[in-house]
Amino acid sequence: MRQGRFFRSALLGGMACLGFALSAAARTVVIDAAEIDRAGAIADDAPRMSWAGYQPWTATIYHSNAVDLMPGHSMLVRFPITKIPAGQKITSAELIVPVEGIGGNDVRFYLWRLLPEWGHGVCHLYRSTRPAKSPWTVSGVRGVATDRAVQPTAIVRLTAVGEQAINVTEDVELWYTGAVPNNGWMFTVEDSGTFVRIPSPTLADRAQTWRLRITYEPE
Amino acid sequence: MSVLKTYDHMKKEKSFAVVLLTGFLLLGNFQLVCGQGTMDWTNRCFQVVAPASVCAAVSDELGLLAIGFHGPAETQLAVYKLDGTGTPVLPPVQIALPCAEALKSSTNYALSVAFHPKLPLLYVWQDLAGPALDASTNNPAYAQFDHLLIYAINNGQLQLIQRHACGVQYACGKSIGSIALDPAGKRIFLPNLRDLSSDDTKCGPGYFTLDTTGMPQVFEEKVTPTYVDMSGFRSLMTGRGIYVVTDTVAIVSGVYGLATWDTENRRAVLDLFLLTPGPTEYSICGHPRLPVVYGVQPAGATALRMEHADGYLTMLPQTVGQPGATFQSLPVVMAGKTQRLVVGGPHCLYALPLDADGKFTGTPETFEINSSAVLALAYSMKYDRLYAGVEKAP
Repeated sequence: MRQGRFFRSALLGGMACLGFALSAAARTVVIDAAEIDRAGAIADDAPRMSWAGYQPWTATIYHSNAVDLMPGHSMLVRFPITKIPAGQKITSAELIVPVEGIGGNDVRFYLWRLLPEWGHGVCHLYRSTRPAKSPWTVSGVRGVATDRAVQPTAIVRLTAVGEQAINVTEDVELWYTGAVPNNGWMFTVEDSGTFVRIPSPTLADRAQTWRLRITYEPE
Repeated sequence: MSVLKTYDHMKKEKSFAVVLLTGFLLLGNFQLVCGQGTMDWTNRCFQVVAPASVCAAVSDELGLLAIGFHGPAETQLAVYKLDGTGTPVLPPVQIALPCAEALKSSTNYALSVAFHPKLPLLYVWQDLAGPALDASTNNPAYAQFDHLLIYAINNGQLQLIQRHACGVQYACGKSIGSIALDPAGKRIFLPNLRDLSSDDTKCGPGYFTLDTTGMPQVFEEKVTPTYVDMSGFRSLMTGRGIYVVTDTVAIVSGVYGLATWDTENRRAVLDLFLLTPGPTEYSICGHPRLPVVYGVQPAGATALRMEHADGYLTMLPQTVGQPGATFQSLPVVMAGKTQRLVVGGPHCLYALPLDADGKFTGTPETFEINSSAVLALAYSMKYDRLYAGVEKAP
């Protein structure tokens, strides 16, 4: 009996120590909007504009205060993940996206991993314009397996506005291990008659509303 | 409506004759100071004693510096020839900008000057202040005051050859407003075009298409501006700088930040990049060599840098602060041996160091100037010289 108690106590103590050691080793970093290093909002009716976000007064005026996701209107964003030291294993990654407005029935948005490098001059037509104009394979980042991943990272159904937490562990793991380069994500809405409004991460007072939370531990 | 007055027509109107005051002005009225200060960039700065100067432009092709004035003097424009080293030659040609006799109780003044990029032409945007210049559409200024003046330059002499922008769609009494031409000289962009459905406070930018001689094109015997409907953004003036990048795309200073104006896309005309949720104006300028636009907050201490692709604002801005600064003038970029974004302020010039990509770097600098406000700034790429209109010599 006594021996049994001793072993049980030792086992529980060991498990507690192990749990403590593991929790001490795991680290979480939060990358917010102020650290985003590439972003843009593209639209098919503004083929060269990088910040065709939403149209507050008339259809001909865009501004960057927010992005209205709808068919033909998308948003691109990249969070650098260099905060994670070498030799780690990604255990979880969560992208927190604020949603300010929705419209239509059965509203959902898609999150896609972007495949090629993009940057200066990004727009509906081009993924970059420097040093030379480089078009997307299909305008509007529609090239499956060339411009964006074959499958979406997530499809997020919305019934109300507010923060949405999206599991992006697999994408971050791919980027961190170097299996594919980190070229960020694209948000789209594919269903006609629906839209999703997300605030632009460019405004200073929105810095905390966008977050990429990554938890990792030593390999 | 805009009124076209041809050169021949002009010649008959003695009241609009150009006054050329050269040769008989005391040289002592004009002073020039170069190479003051201990910093490398200040040694490349000419302080041109020009009290009440508010705007300036340089033509490297013509070797001329033009300075516009808003003050009690009888002349509102001075044009300096630059010698082989970029030194302004004294005295300048002084010009009284034309104002109709019926408006003589008011004061006309220069707001902006710009040279044609290829032709020997100087464009001046003037405005009018004084009694009875309220928002009323019956204001006589709307019928008789020409905002845009075009001077031909020949052997150092300037001659007014056309004047335009007279009518109810051009706001009067504004303290800011910029004109600018595209690099090919196909259009001249204009400030302070009124929203005719509202009062005089709502203004936006517009343009005239220019013909091969640099004159606004006539359509059905009229010169009519094309203007952009800035909708809610017209609620404040948008004349703090126009950076014309291509024949068809310009970056304008908006009320909430910077805006790309795509003049050829009817479905997406404006793209505004907002930096703050509330109204925040920026005075803007472009980098002469890089696809970069800069903005500074008037009366503020924040400066921003943003890239553009053929005029379309792109990626994310870099913002910096210069503690204690009060930016007053439009900014200019020194893009020669020492790279700086220079802005005029009270009794000083502010300089923000730039790296090879035009990004802000290092510690901002301040250079004391004997002038309560430094508003007239221009930079010559050819001579790598900065020209600042100041009230007094150091």
